[in-house]
Amino acid sequence: MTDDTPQAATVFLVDDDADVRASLSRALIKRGFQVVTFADALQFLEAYDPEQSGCLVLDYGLPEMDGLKLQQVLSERQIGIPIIFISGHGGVPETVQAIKGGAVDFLEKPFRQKVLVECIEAAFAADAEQRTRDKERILALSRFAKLTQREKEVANFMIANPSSTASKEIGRELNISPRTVDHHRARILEKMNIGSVAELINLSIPQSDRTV
Amino acid sequence: MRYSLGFVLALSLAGLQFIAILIVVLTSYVSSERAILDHARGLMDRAGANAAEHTKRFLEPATEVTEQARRILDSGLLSTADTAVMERYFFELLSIEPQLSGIYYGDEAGNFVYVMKSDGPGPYRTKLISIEAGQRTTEYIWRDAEYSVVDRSFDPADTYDPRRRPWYEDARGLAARIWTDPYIFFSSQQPGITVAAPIHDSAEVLRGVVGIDLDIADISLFLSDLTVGETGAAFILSDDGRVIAHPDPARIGVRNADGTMGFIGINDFSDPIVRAAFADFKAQLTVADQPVRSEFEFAGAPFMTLLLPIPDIDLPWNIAVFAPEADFIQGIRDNRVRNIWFAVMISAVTGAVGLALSELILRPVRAFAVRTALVSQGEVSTGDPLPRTYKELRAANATLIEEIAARRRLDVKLQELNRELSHVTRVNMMGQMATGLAHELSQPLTAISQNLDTALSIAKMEEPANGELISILSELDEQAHQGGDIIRALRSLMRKDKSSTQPFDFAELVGQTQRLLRQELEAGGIAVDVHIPPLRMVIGNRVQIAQVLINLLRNAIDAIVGADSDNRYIRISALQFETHVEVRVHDSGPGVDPDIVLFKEFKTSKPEGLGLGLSISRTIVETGGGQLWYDEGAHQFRFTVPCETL
Repeated sequence: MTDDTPQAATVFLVDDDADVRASLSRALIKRGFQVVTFADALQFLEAYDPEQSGCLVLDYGLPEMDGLKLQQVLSERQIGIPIIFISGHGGVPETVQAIKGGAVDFLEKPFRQKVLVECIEAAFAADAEQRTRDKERILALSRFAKLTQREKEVANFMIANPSSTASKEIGRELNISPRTVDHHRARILEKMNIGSVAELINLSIPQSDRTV
Repeated sequence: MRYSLGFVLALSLAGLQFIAILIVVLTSYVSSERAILDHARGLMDRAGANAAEHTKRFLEPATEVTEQARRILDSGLLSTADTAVMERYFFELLSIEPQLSGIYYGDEAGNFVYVMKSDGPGPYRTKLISIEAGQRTTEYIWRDAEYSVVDRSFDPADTYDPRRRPWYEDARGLAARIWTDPYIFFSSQQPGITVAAPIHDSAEVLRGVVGIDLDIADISLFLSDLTVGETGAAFILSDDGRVIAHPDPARIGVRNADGTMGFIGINDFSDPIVRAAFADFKAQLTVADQPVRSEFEFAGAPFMTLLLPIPDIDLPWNIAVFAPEADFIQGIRDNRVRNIWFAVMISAVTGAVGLALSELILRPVRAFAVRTALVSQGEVSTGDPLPRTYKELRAANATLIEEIAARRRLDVKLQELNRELSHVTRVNMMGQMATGLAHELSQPLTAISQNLDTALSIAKMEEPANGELISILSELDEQAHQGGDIIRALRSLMRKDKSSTQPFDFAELVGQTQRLLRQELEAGGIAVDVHIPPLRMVIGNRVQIAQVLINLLRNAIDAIVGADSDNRYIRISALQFETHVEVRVHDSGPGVDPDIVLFKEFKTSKPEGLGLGLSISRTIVETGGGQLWYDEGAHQFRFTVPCETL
């Protein structure tokens, strides 16, 4: 977890105005941020690797593909990088649309550096949290995949019916003895590296990843 | 219709009656002349027949008397030997028949009894020649009307021998009643003719010849009484070309080379008209016993002639009639001239009446026209009462008034739209300028503010701290943000114009904007092609959407006018989608220059443009919940407007 500190995160700045790019990147670098700038949305799309953590500071009014469009494309590609819109227009409808699309914030130009930095830090935090959740989920999935056929069936039943996790009920339902259920349950907790059934349910592994 | 109603009316009313009168006059002109000429022919025929009949009747008594005398003397009822009885008989006959001028009898022995009318000393004179034993006695006895002897004398020198006379010789030679050639008495200058008949005894042996002298001057007298037209005349022409009788008897006598008197030949006749008329009469006479009608011209004037052989007489005489046509039709011609003048006057009067009538007919029409003109100039309200006029015009007026009212209503609507449009355009323009400026200024302000922040943090890090520099930089940063606040205020100014949205008929709005741009479209010779299917009501700010349409249409007009092509049209179409209507504006212009950044403030291809039109339009459309874009492939501007859902 130590390699996921905010310092390692990158600010991706997309703005068509060179002066804005220069001043902003300098200011952010001066404050210790790692900054990569792009003149338009396509350049960013080409260069960005979803594995890179950080946030996107995106000008709303870009030529060719504007900020909203880029937001839409990222959403389609299931890239969850947090977006901070900066705009010279700053109309209410635009703001509404951007926030609806999942933007972290919407700043009207000119904005105070402090505000931007706060937004960026918040975005980094959100991004880091998201990435941690994703990692845990992937770990849980890989452990779930190691379960035997019967163990998966038992786990699935417990996830699907959180209110009836007694060995008797499970055994009746799956037509096996409660003792066997107990045995499976211990193996599941051990393999999934968790302490209780409640923790298993909290992992909320998607249905599609739990196929037997 | 190129002509005015007044002109047509006047022309037809005055012109038609003129044509009618002209036709009547012309037909009567032709038909009356022909009728009169036919009538004149009839008159001439009757005059000829009359003259012929008269002449025949005139000659008849002579024939009868001769016949009577012949029978009496033939039968021996009256002895030819008794001269006293014969003289008495002849006297009686002479006194009964006035046209007889003398009756006489000569026998084979040379005896002669001759009773004739005389000028004096008594009204009758008897000449007696008796041959007894070779002794010849010639005695004259004059008597009065009572047969009493007035005077008597003897003429021993008299050598007259009846047997040598042509009448005696002809009658004896032919053994039948004969007519001599007519002759003119040397003494009286009167024309006469003799009819003679042979007398036979019971053994059919010729005893003598009885003769009657007929005074034919009376025929001339009758002819002079006969009227043939005004100046026409009838006369008697013998087959050998001599004029036997003529209304002017003095003209017919001529002195022969031997001193005797004779009838004048037609070719020597003193009247040139008569000569011209009948110079070729022999050719005309070849048609036996039939009346011959012909025409000729003399001195430019037309004449009619008739040549009629007198029927049922033993004489080769013909009635010749001639008359100038003018005699019969001059009256008609005069009448015709009068008629033409009369017709002209009537034409003038009826023409005037026609004009007055057309004026009368036209007055309500003109009043209506004046009123219509006043209405169109707005000086008279359409609601004012109509002048008295025709039903048709009233109906037309009603339609027009309706049309005018509808147009006024439309005009009012258009003006309203126009007014709102110019207001909204102004507001939008200002707003868009503000927004555009705000955007353009926000960029450098952002850079300035960021750089200041950075500079400030650098300054704060320096040791020892430069308080003055920090304070300057802080102030600068504040000032940059004040600039930002002004821009934000400008933006909110634009956002305040939250005009009401409402459902409206998009097709109607297209029609109205088209009308607003009519002048520009016409000046550019541009046709507008509208394809709008039935649409649901669209929802938006009507005036703002009108501005978008006008903006796109103006751009299209400018593009077409600038391209200077023959193909000049703008096509506006609309498509109904589930939640919105898509509008497409296509023009025949060259399309958008790829170097132009569309929808961006202050970017324009127009020398006088601000480059705000499209950005304003986009703002309007997007504020209303639609989109505005340029379809490069189709060369079309397209925008969407939300509409009522089903």
